[in-house]
Amino acid sequence: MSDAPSPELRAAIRAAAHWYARLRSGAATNAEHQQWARWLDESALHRDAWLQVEQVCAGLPDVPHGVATAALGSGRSRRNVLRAVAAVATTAPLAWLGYRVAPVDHWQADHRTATGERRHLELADGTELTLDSATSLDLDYRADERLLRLHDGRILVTSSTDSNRTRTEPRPLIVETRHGRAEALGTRFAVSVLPAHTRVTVLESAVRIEPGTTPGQTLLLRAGEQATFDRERFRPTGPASPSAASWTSGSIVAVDMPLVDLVAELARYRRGRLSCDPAIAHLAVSGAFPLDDSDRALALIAAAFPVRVSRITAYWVRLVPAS
Amino acid sequence: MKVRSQTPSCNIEMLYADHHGWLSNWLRRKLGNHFDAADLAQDTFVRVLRSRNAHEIREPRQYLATVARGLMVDLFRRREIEHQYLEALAALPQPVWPSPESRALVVEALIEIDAMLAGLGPRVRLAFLLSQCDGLTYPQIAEQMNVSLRSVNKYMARAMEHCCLYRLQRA
Repeated sequence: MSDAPSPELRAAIRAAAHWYARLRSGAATNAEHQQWARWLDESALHRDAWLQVEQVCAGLPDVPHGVATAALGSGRSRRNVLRAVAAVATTAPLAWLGYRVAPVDHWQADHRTATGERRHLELADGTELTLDSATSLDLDYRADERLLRLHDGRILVTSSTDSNRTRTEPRPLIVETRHGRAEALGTRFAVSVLPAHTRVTVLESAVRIEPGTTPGQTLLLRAGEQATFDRERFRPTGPASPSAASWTSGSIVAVDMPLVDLVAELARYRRGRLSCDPAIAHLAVSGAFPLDDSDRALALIAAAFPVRVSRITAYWVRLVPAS
Repeated sequence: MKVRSQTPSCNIEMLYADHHGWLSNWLRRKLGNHFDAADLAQDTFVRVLRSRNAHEIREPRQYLATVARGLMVDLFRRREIEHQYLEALAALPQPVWPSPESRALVVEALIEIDAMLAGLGPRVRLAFLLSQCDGLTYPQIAEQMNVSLRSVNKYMARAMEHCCLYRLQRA
Protein backbone atom coordinates (compact mmCIF):
# COMPACT_ATOMS: atom_id res chain seq x y z
CA MET A 1 0.00 0.00 0.00
CA SER A 2 1.32 3.42 -0.88
CA ASP A 3 0.30 6.70 0.71
CA ALA A 4 -3.17 7.98 0.00
CA PRO A 5 -3.19 10.33 -3.00
CA SER A 6 -3.13 14.04 -2.20
CA PRO A 7 -6.41 16.00 -2.25
CA GLU A 8 -5.11 17.81 -5.37
CA LEU A 9 -4.47 14.55 -7.20
CA ARG A 10 -7.86 13.23 -6.11
CA ALA A 11 -9.56 16.30 -7.54
CA ALA A 12 -7.59 15.97 -10.79
CA ILE A 13 -8.50 12.27 -11.01
CA ARG A 14 -12.15 13.14 -10.56
CA ALA A 15 -11.87 15.62 -13.43
CA ALA A 16 -9.96 13.09 -15.56
CA ALA A 17 -12.68 10.50 -14.91
CA HIS A 18 -15.30 12.98 -16.11
CA TRP A 19 -13.32 13.59 -19.28
CA TYR A 20 -12.96 9.87 -19.77
CA ALA A 21 -16.72 9.35 -19.43
CA ARG A 22 -17.46 12.22 -21.79
CA LEU A 23 -14.92 11.26 -24.46
CA ARG A 24 -15.84 7.59 -24.30
CA SER A 25 -19.47 8.45 -24.99
CA GLY A 26 -18.52 9.06 -28.62
CA ALA A 27 -20.81 12.10 -28.51
CA ALA A 28 -18.21 14.64 -27.42
CA THR A 29 -18.19 17.74 -29.59
CA ASN A 30 -15.18 19.30 -31.24
CA ALA A 31 -15.28 22.04 -28.64
CA GLU A 32 -15.20 19.45 -25.85
CA HIS A 33 -12.18 17.76 -27.39
CA GLN A 34 -10.46 21.13 -27.45
CA GLN A 35 -11.39 21.76 -23.82
CA TRP A 36 -9.99 18.36 -22.91
CA ALA A 37 -6.72 19.09 -24.74
CA ARG A 38 -6.46 22.43 -22.99
CA TRP A 39 -7.16 20.79 -19.65
CA LEU A 40 -4.32 18.32 -20.32
CA ASP A 41 -1.96 21.15 -21.25
CA GLU A 42 -2.86 23.11 -18.14
CA SER A 43 -0.75 21.25 -15.60
CA ALA A 44 1.45 18.27 -14.93
CA LEU A 45 -1.08 17.23 -12.29
CA HIS A 46 -3.78 16.94 -14.95
CA ARG A 47 -1.50 14.90 -17.17
CA ASP A 48 -0.66 12.64 -14.19
CA ALA A 49 -4.34 12.12 -13.52
CA TRP A 50 -5.02 11.31 -17.17
CA LEU A 51 -2.12 8.84 -17.11
CA GLN A 52 -3.98 7.04 -14.32
CA VAL A 53 -7.04 6.76 -16.53
CA GLU A 54 -4.92 5.40 -19.36
CA GLN A 55 -3.28 2.89 -17.08
CA VAL A 56 -6.59 1.65 -15.74
CA CYS A 57 -7.76 1.08 -19.33
CA ALA A 58 -4.49 -0.49 -20.42
CA GLY A 59 -4.35 -2.64 -17.29
CA LEU A 60 -7.82 -4.10 -17.61
CA PRO A 61 -7.21 -7.76 -18.25
CA ASP A 62 -8.56 -9.17 -21.47
CA VAL A 63 -11.64 -11.29 -21.12
CA PRO A 64 -13.82 -12.50 -23.99
CA HIS A 65 -16.67 -10.10 -24.77
CA GLY A 66 -19.79 -10.73 -22.75
CA VAL A 67 -18.05 -12.85 -20.16
CA ALA A 68 -17.21 -10.12 -17.63
CA THR A 69 -20.75 -8.79 -17.62
CA ALA A 70 -22.18 -12.26 -17.29
CA ALA A 71 -19.88 -13.25 -14.45
CA LEU A 72 -19.58 -9.93 -12.60
CA GLY A 73 -22.59 -7.83 -13.54
CA SER A 74 -25.49 -7.55 -11.17
CA GLY A 75 -28.79 -9.44 -11.34
CA ARG A 76 -27.32 -12.51 -12.92
CA SER A 77 -30.27 -14.62 -13.91
CA ARG A 78 -29.71 -17.12 -16.65
CA ARG A 79 -31.66 -14.88 -18.99
CA ASN A 80 -29.31 -11.97 -18.32
CA VAL A 81 -26.34 -14.16 -18.98
CA LEU A 82 -27.82 -15.13 -22.33
CA ARG A 83 -28.61 -11.57 -23.23
CA ALA A 84 -25.15 -10.36 -22.35
CA VAL A 85 -23.53 -12.98 -24.50
CA ALA A 86 -25.93 -12.39 -27.38
CA ALA A 87 -25.28 -8.62 -27.31
CA VAL A 88 -21.66 -9.19 -28.16
CA ALA A 89 -22.26 -10.37 -31.68
CA THR A 90 -23.90 -7.09 -32.66
CA THR A 91 -21.32 -4.70 -31.24
CA ALA A 92 -19.02 -2.86 -33.58
CA PRO A 93 -15.70 -1.72 -32.23
CA LEU A 94 -15.81 1.78 -30.85
CA ALA A 95 -13.60 4.40 -32.34
CA TRP A 96 -14.34 7.11 -29.95
CA LEU A 97 -11.48 9.23 -28.91
CA GLY A 98 -11.90 11.81 -31.62
CA TYR A 99 -8.68 13.12 -33.02
CA ARG A 100 -5.82 15.36 -32.20
CA VAL A 101 -7.29 18.71 -31.47
CA ALA A 102 -6.36 21.80 -33.42
CA PRO A 103 -5.74 24.92 -31.35
CA VAL A 104 -8.38 27.59 -31.49
CA ASP A 105 -6.44 30.11 -33.57
CA HIS A 106 -5.32 27.47 -36.04
CA TRP A 107 -7.78 28.50 -38.70
CA GLN A 108 -6.73 32.07 -38.74
CA ALA A 109 -3.17 31.22 -39.67
CA ASP A 110 -1.91 31.91 -43.14
CA HIS A 111 -0.55 28.42 -43.59
CA ARG A 112 -1.64 25.31 -41.86
CA THR A 113 -1.10 21.60 -42.34
CA ALA A 114 -3.44 18.84 -41.21
CA THR A 115 -2.33 15.95 -39.04
CA GLY A 116 -0.19 13.71 -41.25
CA GLU A 117 0.46 16.42 -43.86
CA ARG A 118 3.78 18.12 -44.74
CA ARG A 119 4.09 21.12 -47.01
CA HIS A 120 6.93 22.89 -48.73
CA LEU A 121 6.77 26.66 -49.34
CA GLU A 122 9.04 28.96 -51.28
CA LEU A 123 8.64 32.56 -50.29
CA ALA A 124 9.15 35.61 -52.47
CA ASP A 125 12.42 36.52 -50.79
CA GLY A 126 13.89 33.09 -51.57
CA THR A 127 13.40 31.62 -48.09
CA GLU A 128 12.19 28.00 -48.11
CA LEU A 129 9.95 26.54 -45.45
CA THR A 130 8.89 22.98 -44.73
CA LEU A 131 5.83 22.74 -42.51
CA ASP A 132 5.54 19.55 -40.47
CA SER A 133 2.29 17.75 -39.63
CA ALA A 134 -0.26 19.81 -37.63
CA THR A 135 1.52 23.12 -38.01
CA SER A 136 0.11 26.61 -38.16
CA LEU A 137 2.10 29.62 -39.26
CA ASP A 138 1.46 33.30 -40.06
CA LEU A 139 3.77 35.19 -42.36
CA ASP A 140 4.22 38.84 -41.52
CA TYR A 141 6.78 40.53 -43.69
CA ARG A 142 7.24 44.08 -42.54
CA ALA A 143 9.41 46.96 -43.56
CA ASP A 144 11.93 46.25 -40.86
CA GLU A 145 11.75 42.47 -40.39
CA ARG A 146 10.50 39.22 -41.85
CA LEU A 147 8.39 37.67 -39.13
CA LEU A 148 7.17 34.05 -39.11
CA ARG A 149 4.69 33.52 -36.33
CA LEU A 150 4.67 29.81 -35.47
CA HIS A 151 1.53 29.03 -33.46
CA ASP A 152 1.85 25.30 -33.39
CA GLY A 153 3.85 22.48 -34.87
CA ARG A 154 7.28 22.54 -36.47
CA ILE A 155 9.00 24.22 -39.39
CA LEU A 156 12.34 23.86 -41.10
CA VAL A 157 13.62 27.20 -42.37
CA THR A 158 16.25 27.58 -45.07
CA SER A 159 16.72 31.30 -45.08
CA SER A 160 18.12 33.42 -47.81
CA THR A 161 19.57 36.84 -47.47
CA ASP A 162 16.78 39.24 -48.17
CA SER A 163 16.67 39.38 -51.95
CA ASN A 164 14.72 42.58 -52.06
CA ARG A 165 17.44 44.45 -53.90
CA THR A 166 16.04 47.90 -53.31
CA ARG A 167 17.19 47.66 -49.70
CA THR A 168 20.62 48.40 -48.48
CA GLU A 169 20.18 46.47 -45.23
CA PRO A 170 18.70 42.97 -45.41
CA ARG A 171 15.75 42.58 -43.08
CA PRO A 172 16.26 40.08 -40.24
CA LEU A 173 14.32 36.81 -40.45
CA ILE A 174 12.64 35.96 -37.16
CA VAL A 175 10.55 33.02 -36.01
CA GLU A 176 8.30 34.03 -33.15
CA THR A 177 6.49 31.56 -30.88
CA ARG A 178 4.50 32.03 -27.71
CA HIS A 179 7.75 31.45 -25.82
CA GLY A 180 10.00 33.96 -27.55
CA ARG A 181 11.95 34.63 -30.74
CA ALA A 182 14.64 32.95 -32.83
CA GLU A 183 16.55 35.10 -35.29
CA ALA A 184 18.23 33.49 -38.28
CA LEU A 185 21.76 34.54 -39.05
CA GLY A 186 21.86 33.24 -42.63
CA THR A 187 21.02 29.67 -41.97
CA ARG A 188 19.08 26.41 -41.99
CA PHE A 189 17.26 25.57 -38.77
CA ALA A 190 14.16 23.96 -37.32
CA VAL A 191 11.76 25.37 -34.75
CA SER A 192 9.10 23.35 -32.96
CA VAL A 193 6.48 24.61 -30.57
CA LEU A 194 5.71 22.24 -27.71
CA PRO A 195 3.26 22.82 -24.85
CA ALA A 196 5.86 23.97 -22.33
CA HIS A 197 8.64 25.32 -24.53
CA THR A 198 10.01 25.94 -28.01
CA ARG A 199 12.89 23.91 -29.40
CA VAL A 200 15.39 25.28 -31.90
CA THR A 201 17.78 23.01 -33.78
CA VAL A 202 20.46 24.63 -35.93
CA LEU A 203 21.72 22.71 -38.97
CA GLU A 204 23.81 25.41 -40.64
CA SER A 205 25.29 28.76 -39.57
CA ALA A 206 23.73 30.22 -36.44
CA VAL A 207 20.51 31.35 -34.75
CA ARG A 208 20.04 33.75 -31.88
CA ILE A 209 17.23 32.93 -29.42
CA GLU A 210 15.58 35.28 -26.98
CA PRO A 211 12.95 34.26 -24.39
CA GLY A 212 9.79 36.38 -24.50
CA THR A 213 9.96 38.11 -21.13
CA THR A 214 13.69 38.70 -20.95
CA PRO A 215 14.58 40.86 -23.99
CA GLY A 216 18.28 41.33 -24.37
CA GLN A 217 19.11 38.01 -22.76
CA THR A 218 20.05 35.98 -25.80
CA LEU A 219 21.76 32.72 -26.62
CA LEU A 220 23.69 32.13 -29.84
CA LEU A 221 23.29 28.62 -31.22
CA ARG A 222 25.71 27.37 -33.86
CA ALA A 223 25.39 24.57 -36.40
CA GLY A 224 24.83 21.22 -34.70
CA GLU A 225 23.51 22.74 -31.49
CA GLN A 226 20.01 22.84 -30.11
CA ALA A 227 18.25 24.43 -27.17
CA THR A 228 14.80 24.85 -25.72
CA PHE A 229 13.36 28.00 -24.26
CA ASP A 230 10.22 29.13 -22.49
CA ARG A 231 9.18 32.68 -21.75
CA GLU A 232 11.71 33.15 -18.96
CA ARG A 233 14.85 31.22 -19.84
CA PHE A 234 16.66 29.04 -22.32
CA ARG A 235 18.32 25.69 -21.83
CA PRO A 236 20.91 24.16 -24.20
CA THR A 237 20.06 20.49 -24.78
CA GLY A 238 23.29 19.16 -26.22
CA PRO A 239 24.27 18.42 -29.79
CA ALA A 240 21.58 18.14 -32.45
CA SER A 241 21.24 14.76 -34.08
CA PRO A 242 22.65 14.71 -37.64
CA SER A 243 19.26 13.43 -38.71
CA ALA A 244 17.34 16.19 -36.92
CA ALA A 245 15.68 17.20 -40.20
CA SER A 246 14.89 13.66 -41.36
CA TRP A 247 11.18 14.36 -40.76
CA THR A 248 11.21 16.63 -43.83
CA SER A 249 11.66 13.53 -45.98
CA GLY A 250 9.01 11.52 -44.12
CA SER A 251 10.98 9.45 -41.68
CA ILE A 252 12.49 9.62 -38.24
CA VAL A 253 16.03 8.39 -38.03
CA ALA A 254 16.70 7.54 -34.40
CA VAL A 255 20.05 6.75 -32.83
CA ASP A 256 19.65 5.74 -29.19
CA MET A 257 16.61 7.98 -28.97
CA PRO A 258 14.52 7.66 -25.80
CA LEU A 259 11.35 5.80 -26.78
CA VAL A 260 9.23 8.59 -25.32
CA ASP A 261 10.76 11.08 -27.79
CA LEU A 262 10.21 8.76 -30.75
CA VAL A 263 6.60 8.28 -29.62
CA ALA A 264 6.17 12.08 -29.47
CA GLU A 265 7.44 12.33 -33.07
CA LEU A 266 5.02 9.64 -34.26
CA ALA A 267 2.17 11.16 -32.25
CA ARG A 268 2.46 14.34 -34.33
CA TYR A 269 1.40 12.27 -37.32
CA ARG A 270 -1.51 10.45 -35.76
CA ARG A 271 -5.04 11.38 -34.96
CA GLY A 272 -6.01 10.40 -31.46
CA ARG A 273 -3.66 9.73 -28.64
CA LEU A 274 -0.40 7.81 -28.74
CA SER A 275 1.48 7.43 -25.49
CA CYS A 276 4.12 5.33 -23.87
CA ASP A 277 4.20 3.55 -20.51
CA PRO A 278 6.59 5.33 -18.10
CA ALA A 279 8.34 1.99 -17.48
CA ILE A 280 9.73 1.97 -21.04
CA ALA A 281 9.90 5.72 -21.68
CA HIS A 282 13.70 5.81 -21.54
CA LEU A 283 14.37 2.70 -23.56
CA ALA A 284 16.98 3.67 -26.17
CA VAL A 285 15.74 2.89 -29.68
CA SER A 286 17.54 3.09 -33.00
CA GLY A 287 16.32 2.70 -36.55
CA ALA A 288 14.48 4.46 -39.33
CA PHE A 289 10.75 4.77 -38.82
CA PRO A 290 8.25 5.90 -41.47
CA LEU A 291 6.17 8.89 -40.39
CA ASP A 292 3.54 8.54 -43.08
CA ASP A 293 2.62 5.03 -41.94
CA SER A 294 2.87 5.31 -38.19
CA ASP A 295 1.11 1.97 -37.66
CA ARG A 296 3.99 0.35 -39.51
CA ALA A 297 6.44 2.36 -37.42
CA LEU A 298 4.77 1.03 -34.25
CA ALA A 299 4.95 -2.52 -35.59
CA LEU A 300 8.67 -2.04 -36.30
CA ILE A 301 9.25 -0.82 -32.76
CA ALA A 302 7.33 -3.75 -31.31
CA ALA A 303 9.28 -6.20 -33.47
CA ALA A 304 12.70 -4.89 -32.49
CA PHE A 305 12.29 -3.89 -28.85
CA PRO A 306 10.64 -5.42 -25.74
CA VAL A 307 7.53 -3.39 -26.33
CA ARG A 308 3.93 -4.24 -27.13
CA VAL A 309 1.35 -2.07 -28.90
CA SER A 310 -1.81 -1.89 -26.83
CA ARG A 311 -4.81 -0.57 -28.76
CA ILE A 312 -7.36 0.67 -26.29
CA THR A 313 -9.37 2.00 -29.21
CA ALA A 314 -8.38 2.75 -32.80
CA TYR A 315 -7.63 6.31 -31.71
CA TRP A 316 -6.01 5.57 -28.41
CA VAL A 317 -2.83 3.55 -28.60
CA ARG A 318 -0.26 2.88 -25.92
CA LEU A 319 3.16 1.28 -26.00
CA VAL A 320 3.57 -0.98 -22.99
CA PRO A 321 6.31 -3.36 -21.83
CA ALA A 322 6.11 -6.70 -23.64
CA SER A 323 4.50 -9.14 -21.17
CA MET B 1 17.00 -18.20 23.62
CA LYS B 2 15.05 -15.13 24.51
CA VAL B 3 16.50 -13.11 21.64
CA ARG B 4 15.36 -15.60 19.01
CA SER B 5 11.87 -15.70 20.40
CA GLN B 6 11.56 -11.99 19.46
CA THR B 7 11.92 -12.67 15.74
CA PRO B 8 8.77 -12.89 13.67
CA SER B 9 9.72 -16.27 12.21
CA CYS B 10 9.91 -17.71 15.69
CA ASN B 11 6.64 -16.08 16.64
CA ILE B 12 4.89 -17.48 13.64
CA GLU B 13 6.18 -20.94 14.58
CA MET B 14 4.66 -20.55 18.01
CA LEU B 15 1.48 -19.17 16.56
CA TYR B 16 1.31 -22.12 14.18
CA ALA B 17 2.03 -24.69 16.88
CA ASP B 18 -0.49 -23.22 19.30
CA HIS B 19 -3.37 -22.40 16.98
CA HIS B 20 -3.17 -24.35 13.71
CA GLY B 21 -5.28 -27.19 15.01
CA TRP B 22 -7.88 -24.82 16.38
CA LEU B 23 -8.03 -22.81 13.11
CA SER B 24 -8.42 -25.95 10.96
CA ASN B 25 -11.32 -27.12 13.10
CA TRP B 26 -12.94 -23.70 13.05
CA LEU B 27 -12.67 -23.55 9.24
CA ARG B 28 -13.97 -27.10 8.82
CA ARG B 29 -17.07 -26.21 10.82
CA LYS B 30 -17.62 -23.09 8.69
CA LEU B 31 -16.91 -24.71 5.34
CA GLY B 32 -18.15 -28.21 6.00
CA ASN B 33 -15.25 -29.46 3.92
CA HIS B 34 -11.97 -30.90 5.15
CA PHE B 35 -9.86 -30.10 2.07
CA ASP B 36 -10.87 -26.47 1.73
CA ALA B 37 -10.38 -26.01 5.47
CA ALA B 38 -6.82 -27.40 5.33
CA ASP B 39 -5.97 -25.17 2.33
CA LEU B 40 -7.40 -22.04 3.90
CA ALA B 41 -5.69 -22.66 7.24
CA GLN B 42 -2.40 -22.88 5.37
CA ASP B 43 -3.17 -19.72 3.35
CA THR B 44 -4.07 -17.89 6.54
CA PHE B 45 -0.68 -18.55 8.09
CA VAL B 46 1.07 -17.57 4.86
CA ARG B 47 -0.86 -14.30 4.87
CA VAL B 48 0.07 -13.60 8.50
CA LEU B 49 3.71 -14.46 7.81
CA ARG B 50 3.81 -12.05 4.85
CA SER B 51 2.28 -9.23 6.86
CA ARG B 52 5.39 -9.38 9.14
CA ASN B 53 3.57 -8.24 12.19
CA ALA B 54 3.10 -11.57 13.93
CA HIS B 55 4.91 -10.25 16.98
CA GLU B 56 2.28 -7.54 17.46
CA ILE B 57 -0.67 -9.90 17.67
CA ARG B 58 -2.44 -9.67 21.02
CA GLU B 59 -5.44 -11.91 20.39
CA PRO B 60 -4.10 -14.65 18.13
CA ARG B 61 -7.32 -16.59 17.60
CA GLN B 62 -9.40 -13.53 16.90
CA TYR B 63 -6.77 -12.28 14.46
CA LEU B 64 -6.45 -15.63 12.68
CA ALA B 65 -10.22 -15.88 12.39
CA THR B 66 -10.38 -12.40 10.84
CA VAL B 67 -7.77 -13.24 8.22
CA ALA B 68 -9.37 -16.64 7.55
CA ARG B 69 -12.80 -15.06 7.16
CA GLY B 70 -11.40 -12.70 4.49
CA LEU B 71 -9.89 -15.64 2.63
CA MET B 72 -13.17 -17.54 2.89
CA VAL B 73 -15.01 -14.63 1.27
CA ASP B 74 -12.37 -14.58 -1.49
CA LEU B 75 -12.82 -18.31 -2.02
CA PHE B 76 -16.61 -18.05 -2.23
CA ARG B 77 -16.40 -15.10 -4.58
CA ARG B 78 -13.91 -16.95 -6.76
CA ARG B 79 -16.21 -19.99 -6.91
CA GLU B 80 -19.17 -17.78 -7.71
CA ILE B 81 -17.29 -16.05 -10.50
CA GLU B 82 -16.08 -19.37 -11.86
CA HIS B 83 -19.61 -20.70 -11.75
CA GLN B 84 -21.03 -17.66 -13.56
CA TYR B 85 -18.34 -17.91 -16.19
CA LEU B 86 -19.04 -21.57 -16.87
CA GLU B 87 -22.73 -20.78 -17.02
CA ALA B 88 -22.04 -18.05 -19.58
CA LEU B 89 -20.08 -20.51 -21.68
CA ALA B 90 -22.84 -23.08 -21.47
CA ALA B 91 -25.40 -20.47 -22.53
CA LEU B 92 -23.64 -19.75 -25.82
CA PRO B 93 -25.70 -20.83 -28.84
CA GLN B 94 -22.91 -23.24 -29.69
CA PRO B 95 -21.18 -23.90 -26.41
CA VAL B 96 -17.41 -23.72 -26.62
CA TRP B 97 -15.15 -25.18 -23.98
CA PRO B 98 -11.81 -23.47 -23.74
CA SER B 99 -8.92 -25.50 -22.38
CA PRO B 100 -8.65 -25.69 -18.58
CA GLU B 101 -5.64 -23.41 -18.81
CA SER B 102 -7.38 -20.64 -20.71
CA ARG B 103 -10.43 -21.02 -18.43
CA ALA B 104 -8.16 -20.49 -15.43
CA LEU B 105 -6.68 -17.38 -17.07
CA VAL B 106 -10.11 -15.92 -17.71
CA VAL B 107 -11.18 -16.62 -14.13
CA GLU B 108 -8.02 -14.92 -12.81
CA ALA B 109 -8.74 -11.90 -15.03
CA LEU B 110 -12.34 -11.77 -13.83
CA ILE B 111 -11.23 -11.89 -10.20
CA GLU B 112 -8.83 -9.03 -10.84
CA ILE B 113 -11.60 -6.93 -12.39
CA ASP B 114 -13.98 -7.91 -9.61
CA ALA B 115 -11.51 -6.80 -6.95
CA MET B 116 -11.00 -3.47 -8.69
CA LEU B 117 -14.73 -2.82 -8.90
CA ALA B 118 -15.47 -3.95 -5.33
CA GLY B 119 -17.36 -1.28 -3.42
CA LEU B 120 -19.08 0.20 -6.47
CA GLY B 121 -22.86 0.04 -6.77
CA PRO B 122 -24.26 -2.66 -9.06
CA ARG B 123 -25.43 -0.20 -11.72
CA VAL B 124 -22.09 1.61 -11.87
CA ARG B 125 -20.34 -1.75 -12.17
CA LEU B 126 -22.61 -3.01 -14.88
CA ALA B 127 -22.36 0.16 -16.97
CA PHE B 128 -18.58 0.10 -16.78
CA LEU B 129 -18.36 -3.59 -17.68
CA LEU B 130 -20.75 -3.22 -20.59
CA SER B 131 -18.70 -0.35 -21.96
CA GLN B 132 -15.15 -1.31 -21.12
CA CYS B 133 -15.24 -5.11 -21.38
CA ASP B 134 -18.08 -5.67 -23.85
CA GLY B 135 -17.63 -2.59 -26.01
CA LEU B 136 -21.25 -1.48 -25.93
CA THR B 137 -22.02 2.14 -26.88
CA TYR B 138 -23.65 4.48 -24.37
CA PRO B 139 -27.03 4.30 -26.16
CA GLN B 140 -26.85 0.48 -26.08
CA ILE B 141 -26.00 0.54 -22.37
CA ALA B 142 -28.78 3.04 -21.64
CA GLU B 143 -31.27 0.79 -23.42
CA GLN B 144 -30.11 -2.41 -21.77
CA MET B 145 -30.09 -0.88 -18.28
CA ASN B 146 -33.18 1.21 -18.93
CA VAL B 147 -31.54 4.44 -17.77
CA SER B 148 -30.77 7.80 -19.40
CA LEU B 149 -27.58 8.57 -21.32
CA ARG B 150 -26.83 11.10 -18.62
CA SER B 151 -26.86 8.34 -16.02
CA VAL B 152 -24.56 6.17 -18.13
CA ASN B 153 -22.13 9.08 -18.34
CA LYS B 154 -22.30 9.55 -14.57
CA TYR B 155 -21.77 5.83 -13.89
CA MET B 156 -18.74 5.73 -16.18
CA ALA B 157 -17.07 8.70 -14.49
CA ARG B 158 -17.77 7.26 -11.06
CA ALA B 159 -16.33 3.85 -12.01
CA MET B 160 -13.18 5.33 -13.56
CA GLU B 161 -12.51 7.54 -10.57
CA HIS B 162 -12.85 4.52 -8.30
CA CYS B 163 -10.53 2.39 -10.48
CA CYS B 164 -7.85 5.10 -10.60
CA LEU B 165 -7.85 5.44 -6.81
CA TYR B 166 -7.81 1.67 -6.42
CA ARG B 167 -4.77 1.41 -8.71
CA LEU B 168 -2.94 4.25 -6.97
CA GLN B 169 -3.43 2.82 -3.51
CA ARG B 170 -2.26 -0.59 -4.56
CA ALA B 171 0.78 0.64 -6.45
